[in-house]
Amino acid sequence: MYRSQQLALKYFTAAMVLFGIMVAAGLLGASQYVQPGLLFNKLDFNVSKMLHIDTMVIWLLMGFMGAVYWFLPGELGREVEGIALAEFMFWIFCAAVGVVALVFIVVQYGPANESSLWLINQGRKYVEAPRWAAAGVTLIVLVFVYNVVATAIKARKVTGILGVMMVDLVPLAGLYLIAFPSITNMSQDLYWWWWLVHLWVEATWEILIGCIMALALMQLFGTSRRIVETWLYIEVALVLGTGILGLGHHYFWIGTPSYWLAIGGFFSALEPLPLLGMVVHAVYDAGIHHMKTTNKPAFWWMMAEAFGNFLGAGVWGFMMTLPQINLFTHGTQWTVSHGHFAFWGAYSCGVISVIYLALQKARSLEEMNGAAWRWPFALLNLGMVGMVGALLVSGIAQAFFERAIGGSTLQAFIDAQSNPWFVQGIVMRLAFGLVFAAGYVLLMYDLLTVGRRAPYALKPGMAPRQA
Amino acid sequence: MYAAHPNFWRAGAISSTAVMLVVLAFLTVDSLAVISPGGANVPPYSVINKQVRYEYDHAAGRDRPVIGADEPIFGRVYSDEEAAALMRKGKLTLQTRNCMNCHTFFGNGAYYAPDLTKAWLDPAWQQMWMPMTQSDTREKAMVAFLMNPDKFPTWERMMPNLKISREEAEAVTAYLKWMSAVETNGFPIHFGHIQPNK
Amino acid sequence: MIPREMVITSLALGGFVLLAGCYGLLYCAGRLRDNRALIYGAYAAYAAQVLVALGIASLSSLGGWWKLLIAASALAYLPIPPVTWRYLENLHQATEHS
Repeated sequence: MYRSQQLALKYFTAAMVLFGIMVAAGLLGASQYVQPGLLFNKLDFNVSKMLHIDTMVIWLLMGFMGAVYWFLPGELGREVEGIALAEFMFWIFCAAVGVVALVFIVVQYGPANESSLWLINQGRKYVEAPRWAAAGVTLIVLVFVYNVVATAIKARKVTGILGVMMVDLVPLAGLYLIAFPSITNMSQDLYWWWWLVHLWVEATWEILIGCIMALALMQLFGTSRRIVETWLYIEVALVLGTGILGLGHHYFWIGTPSYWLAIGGFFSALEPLPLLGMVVHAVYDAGIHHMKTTNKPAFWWMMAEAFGNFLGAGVWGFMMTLPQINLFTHGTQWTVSHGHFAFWGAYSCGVISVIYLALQKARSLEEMNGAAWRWPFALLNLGMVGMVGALLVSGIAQAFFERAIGGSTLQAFIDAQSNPWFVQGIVMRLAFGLVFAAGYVLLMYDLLTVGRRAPYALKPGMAPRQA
Repeated sequence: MYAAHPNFWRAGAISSTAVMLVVLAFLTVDSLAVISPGGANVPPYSVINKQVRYEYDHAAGRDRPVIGADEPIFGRVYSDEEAAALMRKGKLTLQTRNCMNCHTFFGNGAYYAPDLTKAWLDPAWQQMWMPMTQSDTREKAMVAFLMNPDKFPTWERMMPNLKISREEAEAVTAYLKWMSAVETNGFPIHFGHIQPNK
Repeated sequence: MIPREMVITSLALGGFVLLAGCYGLLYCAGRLRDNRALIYGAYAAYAAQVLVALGIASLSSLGGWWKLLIAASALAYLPIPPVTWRYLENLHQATEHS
């Protein structure tokens, strides 16, 4: 195994640990909805929520980086250039995440001045990390970009997938610079903030996971390079063709001109079309290989990705994306429902799939199967579908009672949040969150022990690798 | 079949991305002008010296902010520079106290606590907090509440005490007044009007 | 838009895309198993999708532009599964022969 691949396994481990912290912080936040006095004035909802979404961003990012470090040497036939630096940066990354988490939990707030933004918390959703840590993340991503580009230069080879990835890494790193300024004017602040959040999540990340899935498909099914590359280009054309101006659906209500209502609505109405094509592709791939693969969990997580993306981004997104509807649903639990489903489908399932693929190689397994992966697969997906279903009920109740009839004031907010439909939804979300958490525990068990439990088919002449 | 060749789609990907980016660049230049303070949709910071209302506009078919006569905040008139400094302080307070991870601004943020887009205009300040905090103006009630939110709860989900100083609380209050005057295409809908349940 | 209509319209919009998913899934299943009944089922799902689109266009109080967009996109969904499928088949054949 290349050193780069060993580094990838480290990144996967860190990602899955952060996944656990995300689940724990999510459960705390969900409990605070049900029991508002929980840890009041000690660890309030804004801290649990911040931990929940920041660990999500970081674990997915670590998962992507791990996946690239995993596939890169195979793709180029050589060790990654600057691997020692990359290994060093991994530990820096972990240390920085740990320190930031401690500061968030222990210090929490500072006075209203610039040094609080540098040292404690920037208070901009998703990019709360203080500026020193944001600078660290930028540096880590730059080293990552260097690793990819320098390795390709040394190997004197750029495959189509790597070409797309390298071009994509430029905006991935560049957009993150929006994490630094603190613009007084909320409208302009949010204007740029959405460039970061939307163009990361619905553009650069989509392309990066597309590249990773392309590499994974070649390993999983032995699909030919020409096919996956063609498909990747189609995906890039459609995702960026609809997604860049799909940014407009975040510019409906932040003070921006009303032409964004037409632009945002139009392009988001187009977004489900490519997602349907991707579902057809997934089923086609599964069908022509008769669902035969040596790595069942990787295969099923990839399927979960295709369907989750269609449902979470396509169906859930389209319910609330037209401006006339969004005026009611924007900023309610409806959004929360969509966000959970879309992130899960578009990214989380894909990262888990790649981890299973990597473990098959790392532990030299002829076949990756057994019963154990099915339980976390079922519980995590059931938990997620249950959560988004419950949040949808709460969201509809909130849009109806707070916005449509209540008049959107504080009293309307309180009335909607106290409505039995809303309350039941929020309780069921917690219940399904526990199901999801159980799935996480079993997933960790399976990932840690797969191939080390008897009976397992090993490649002939190989002993299971002991960690 | 030409469409089976990767290069066909690579060209498609590059050109569609390029076209969209160019369009986005033009729209961004225009939008930033409209949303700069004093632009078509965003008032100058000195709007905090004026009365702000939110009224139904029959021509537009939705509510719109209306800037009225002079209405000093905290009993004084702020110069442009003073107003800008106050807004800066207000924004820094919103960020350092992590308001956005419970509340929403223009509907963006977390969903645990109410949206603050039109919070300045919320009838609850007059109906609930002015008597509760024994304040004679809305802005004084807001300051009293922000400094000790856990002492003046309105329901079981309370706002925690974020050690907000008087100076910071005044800045946040002024910031919310400015924000309520931003033209938001009618968001949040029906603010302050209760609708018949049909 | 009156309150109840907001909820009904948005659920109809979700159903619209969901039916497109059913159409795509049934179509693929039909092609994989060479099963005519599944293909008919796929077109039935598509017909239901068009009905939902017509319902939105005629009954909801969305703006005229949006109704037109929904109707046009309903038509755009029709070719996606067969065209994608044929394209994938051609792509795989072309690769095997090259």
